[in-house]
Amino acid sequence: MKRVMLLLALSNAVLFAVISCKNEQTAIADKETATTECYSGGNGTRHCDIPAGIDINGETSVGCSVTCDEGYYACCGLTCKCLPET
Amino acid sequence: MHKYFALAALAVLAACNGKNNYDAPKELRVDADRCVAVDVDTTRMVRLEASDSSRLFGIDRLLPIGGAYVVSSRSKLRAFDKATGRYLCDVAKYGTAEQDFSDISNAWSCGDTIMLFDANTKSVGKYLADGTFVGKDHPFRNTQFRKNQPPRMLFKLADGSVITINGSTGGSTQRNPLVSLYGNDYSYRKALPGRQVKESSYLMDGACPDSIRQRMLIWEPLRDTVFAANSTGIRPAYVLNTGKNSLPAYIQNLPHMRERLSAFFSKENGNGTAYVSLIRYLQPDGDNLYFCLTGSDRRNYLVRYDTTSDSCNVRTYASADGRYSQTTFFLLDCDSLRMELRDNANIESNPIIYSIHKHELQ
Repeated sequence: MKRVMLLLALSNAVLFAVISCKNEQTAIADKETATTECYSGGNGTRHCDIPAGIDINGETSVGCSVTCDEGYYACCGLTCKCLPET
Repeated sequence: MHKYFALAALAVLAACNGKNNYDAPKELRVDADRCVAVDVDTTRMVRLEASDSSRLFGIDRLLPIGGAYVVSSRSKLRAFDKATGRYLCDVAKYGTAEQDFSDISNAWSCGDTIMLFDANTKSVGKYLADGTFVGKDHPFRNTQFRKNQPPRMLFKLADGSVITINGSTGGSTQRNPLVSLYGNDYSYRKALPGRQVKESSYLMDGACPDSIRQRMLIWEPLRDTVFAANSTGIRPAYVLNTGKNSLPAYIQNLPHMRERLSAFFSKENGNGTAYVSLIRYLQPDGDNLYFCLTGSDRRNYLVRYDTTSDSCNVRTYASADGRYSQTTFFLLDCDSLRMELRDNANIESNPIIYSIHKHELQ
């Protein structure tokens, strides 16, 4: 009986952790979607890029690009990222 | 029972004592304090003409072709006279027409022809130094690349095979291999194991063919490891050690380039010395490795490292009055080395190409 109770408690703990993690990821995605403005790219776009053009030390120009899989759209600004499609 | 155990132990030991194909990376010890400060000789300078139609930012790539320097600088691809620096023409332009490009992802020369890989359109444009458009190939048209390996830079190797340095999939794919191998007909072969794309930002270099050793050398800005990629995979080949000027692991481990750049230039070493680190441009030449280092005190260095004798020469090029100083760009050009200088007294001036002989770096 004690073993059954222990097993149940462990299973519940694992389930709780998984659900919390998924909720957190969804919350992060929602936050990113809600607050991210895309200089290029946007919903429905799979690829965007910012050509190398931001100088950091007067000579180093950094670019970024991203190509997203299905279910994501490309969003490029200060960084380039793939965000879940809404 | 004991016999079986002994046999199993022997088998394990035999496996462990088998040939180890992993070569530990070679340490490159560079002491920036032993740097030789070279006063630039203005007679060796070729100032690239700066006008409204010929303005450049820093040099991303330099292609000496005939009597011209073809320079790629962000979204510009321009030709200048090698002897005088006079602006000749735009070799190609940013745009949507067939002869245009949307991005200069990589450029190299094949004889007198300039080859330009555009990662956005996955095309290779071909041009002459006088701006003649020769044509455009779409090598991946019939041989689709894998969606988790979008080519960002393309290199044709001596044996005809093709290597791509891949772009980021932004975490939307489970894996995002950094390097892929294709046949000479651009048929997909495989992703090289050993390194994944970690971030979406990039500098305009980061990879260079090492034809003699039939591999690619790959590096990341403000990280101390140079990787070697061949058909079997990607492994650390060299580790830079700048001693007391070494960049701390916590900065090297910052996942995004901009974070590393900001941390690098905003902090000093605990004992007041500057950080010195690999940032961009590295070229093998036989047993020698040439590369640039940058310091958090805004000083740049050119290093020639002999990988067989472990001897190295470290030099910094600047004029005594501070007007001219080297950037971190250079190119090995036969027996010469072409370095980029900037004119600190005139921020609107174009880059200066400064030539030295390789034997001066011995």
